[in-house]
Amino acid sequence: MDERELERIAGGLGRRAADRLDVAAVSRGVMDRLREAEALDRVVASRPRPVLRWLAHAAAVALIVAGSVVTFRATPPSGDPAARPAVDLYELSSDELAEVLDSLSWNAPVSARFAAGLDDLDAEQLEQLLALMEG
Amino acid sequence: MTVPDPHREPADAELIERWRGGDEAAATALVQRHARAVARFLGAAGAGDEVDDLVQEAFFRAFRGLARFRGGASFRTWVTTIAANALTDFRRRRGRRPVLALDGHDVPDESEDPHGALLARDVEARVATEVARLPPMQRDVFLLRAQQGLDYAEIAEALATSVGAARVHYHQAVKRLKKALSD
Repeated sequence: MDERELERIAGGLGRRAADRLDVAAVSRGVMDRLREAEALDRVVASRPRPVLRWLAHAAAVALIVAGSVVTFRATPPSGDPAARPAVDLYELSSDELAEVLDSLSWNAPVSARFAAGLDDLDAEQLEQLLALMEG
Repeated sequence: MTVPDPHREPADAELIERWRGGDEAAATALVQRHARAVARFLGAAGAGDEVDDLVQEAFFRAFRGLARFRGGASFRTWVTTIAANALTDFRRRRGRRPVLALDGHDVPDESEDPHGALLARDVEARVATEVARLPPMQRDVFLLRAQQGLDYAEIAEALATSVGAARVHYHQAVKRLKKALSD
């Protein structure tokens, strides 16, 4: 089969999938999802700033923990088990989480690096992270 | 003085601006205009029964991320590349390679030459299966050129790559397909 023949056959692929598509249902689905997403955006935007700040703290803690896990796994185990970090942040209250964050944010370079990544999270991602942490 | 034609179809750019201004009917019109082309791409890429969901996902992502649409490629091409990414994400989540059923392919009219039609159907099914097995970048470049008719510059713009890289991906795809189909 030469290239031209291959292109000719490829050009005809997918016709049946296109014919079978329920365009009206797809349109409705897209618009419903956009409305839901925008409603969530409005809810998040209307939250008082302290709540958003707490969400940012919670996200930062999650990122720090993830970073710590990566670092811990990449580091050869030392002989002293007590020297290994033992972190279970899910046990902490929100105040305690904020305290942990405050204690780590500006002193430890690793946390500062991960905290800077928060700027990349939008409100929806912060909500998801919070939901994850709340189980 | 030119009188505006009330029956003129609004251009994509106009519909996009209207959607940015909150006009839902404009977004619906864009979906209705381009959904079948996106479905055709996904069908050729081996999306199977997931085509409807992936088309919906592609348009949802496109409208949510419209700020990133610079107009370098056409809106249809842009949504098609989003659909290609959605298909790749879907397969990664499922952790499997595409499995295609013959039923999913186009069936030509067999009334005049049943034997020839059967052969054509078989060849088409094999091409579709091998296209779906290509690495995502080769698959997308190949289909954007062979199926959607884009030139290398347009493909490079749509896939955020260089013209040279698009050309290489295309030729690698063709080479791989020829080899697979000759086995």
